[in-house]
Amino acid sequence: MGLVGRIAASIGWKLYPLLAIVGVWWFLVDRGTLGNEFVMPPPGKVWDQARTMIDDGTLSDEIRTTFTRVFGAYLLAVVVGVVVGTMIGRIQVVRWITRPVVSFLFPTPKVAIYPAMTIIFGLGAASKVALGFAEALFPVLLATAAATSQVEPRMSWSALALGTSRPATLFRVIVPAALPQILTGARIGLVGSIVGVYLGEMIVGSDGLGQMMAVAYRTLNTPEMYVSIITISLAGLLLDRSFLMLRNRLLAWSEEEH
Amino acid sequence: MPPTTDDGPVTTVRDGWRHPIWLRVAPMLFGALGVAGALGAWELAPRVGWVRPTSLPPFSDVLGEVFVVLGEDEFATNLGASSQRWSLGLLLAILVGIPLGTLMGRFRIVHKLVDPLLVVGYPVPKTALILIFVLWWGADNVSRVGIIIAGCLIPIVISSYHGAMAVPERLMWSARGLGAGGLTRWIQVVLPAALPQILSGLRLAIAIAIFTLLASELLIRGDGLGAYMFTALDNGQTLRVYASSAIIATLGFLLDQLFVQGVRRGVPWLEGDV
Repeated sequence: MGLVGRIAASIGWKLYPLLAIVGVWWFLVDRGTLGNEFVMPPPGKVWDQARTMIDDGTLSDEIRTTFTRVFGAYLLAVVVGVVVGTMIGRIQVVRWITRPVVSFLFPTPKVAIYPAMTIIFGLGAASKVALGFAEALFPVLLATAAATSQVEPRMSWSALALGTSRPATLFRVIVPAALPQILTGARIGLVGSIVGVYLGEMIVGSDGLGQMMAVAYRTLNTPEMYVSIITISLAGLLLDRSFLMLRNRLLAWSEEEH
Repeated sequence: MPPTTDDGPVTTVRDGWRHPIWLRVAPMLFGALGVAGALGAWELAPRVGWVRPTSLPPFSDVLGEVFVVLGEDEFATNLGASSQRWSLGLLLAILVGIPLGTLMGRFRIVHKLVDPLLVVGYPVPKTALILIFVLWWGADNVSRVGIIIAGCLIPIVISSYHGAMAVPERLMWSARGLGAGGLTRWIQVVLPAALPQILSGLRLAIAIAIFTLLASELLIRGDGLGAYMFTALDNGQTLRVYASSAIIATLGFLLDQLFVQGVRRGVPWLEGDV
């Protein structure tokens, strides 16, 4: 079985309780136990709504909008997180300088800064990318800093003794040795960027899956609310699983428990 | 930490920099430099014209506004509303999550029953549930507290589960041999042994509770800190937006530190950090 097959199988295995829940949901709505059909539409109605949106292309448009932002925010967070994190991990002065600022920013709720982000970046895509970035950055940065500072010094000494230049040691010894922990942080960051972008779209904005939820709520199109939340959850699950599989494949050499 | 080998510390030419006093003073010195640099850049950027002062007011102006906001009755009322929701939601999640998680760790059948729900619930962004909760229960405290519970329940359950699963069987056997009943074993063996993991789950839950609280208040307004911020945003009171953001961010930081320091003092036998 190829990589794609394994990802599909792993998701399929995770989906069986979901199918059970949909079955129970349908049954209860059918019997009227869940009350008003308007508040809790049966899965069939949600599926019809999804089909309509798939057919006229709105669903794929919103998915594309949201996940372009997610990937933008995430890529930015990984690049900044790994570069700055490696500097913090390897250079003591940088670690000293950044420690108070980083340890203040890490536990603070980033969403508290979202209204300020909309002032700086406007109500468009940039403020959503900013929130997704802020949510994703610290898991990557802290994992990188911790991992690069713990790399066995003898490994880089050997490389240096064998004639590798200092910058080359960084890319060929330090970062690969720290990769398992970096990728663990990066996986948490991926979820963070999805949550950040979606939340930003819900609060203010004009498009994307989050805005779809907010508009459906305002116009009382309840099946569409369920389409939005199910889409974002499935897309998140798919990305997270794929990331995990790629990580395990990349790290087949490492002794760390996957 | 200077690098060491099995033969002792590595000596280098720059060892003057590794003098013990220097190593104690330097982090504080450079740390202060870092903070001053960050705040200085914030102060300078709008004054020099790198950014418009209407989008990013200078730090000193925001600091002045912080004291104005802190002295306001309106802010205090909203802070009160938010704190109540936060503590109630977190408390309920703890009361449900710790017993559920530890039972999952001790009894296979509970694990089999609850785990599929966690698997389904895990990938759902909890903030996406906010408007659905409002649809179910209206825009009052039931949904607002409910979303906090939904946000922090899973981390608490999972950390309690891992903690309880890792309790050494010998401890359970000894307790049973000494005649301890199920409840006594749970209180006197399982909970203390699982405590380190439960506490790190709680630290996460504290942050998630603040996150979901603010997200729900930003979305459904009404009252609370998120609503207060958004009103300021709607009225174009940029300074007030920054001041309240700064206060809330600082509160989040202080709560986290309070928890970490409290655990360090209160549970000194705990190895490592929460």
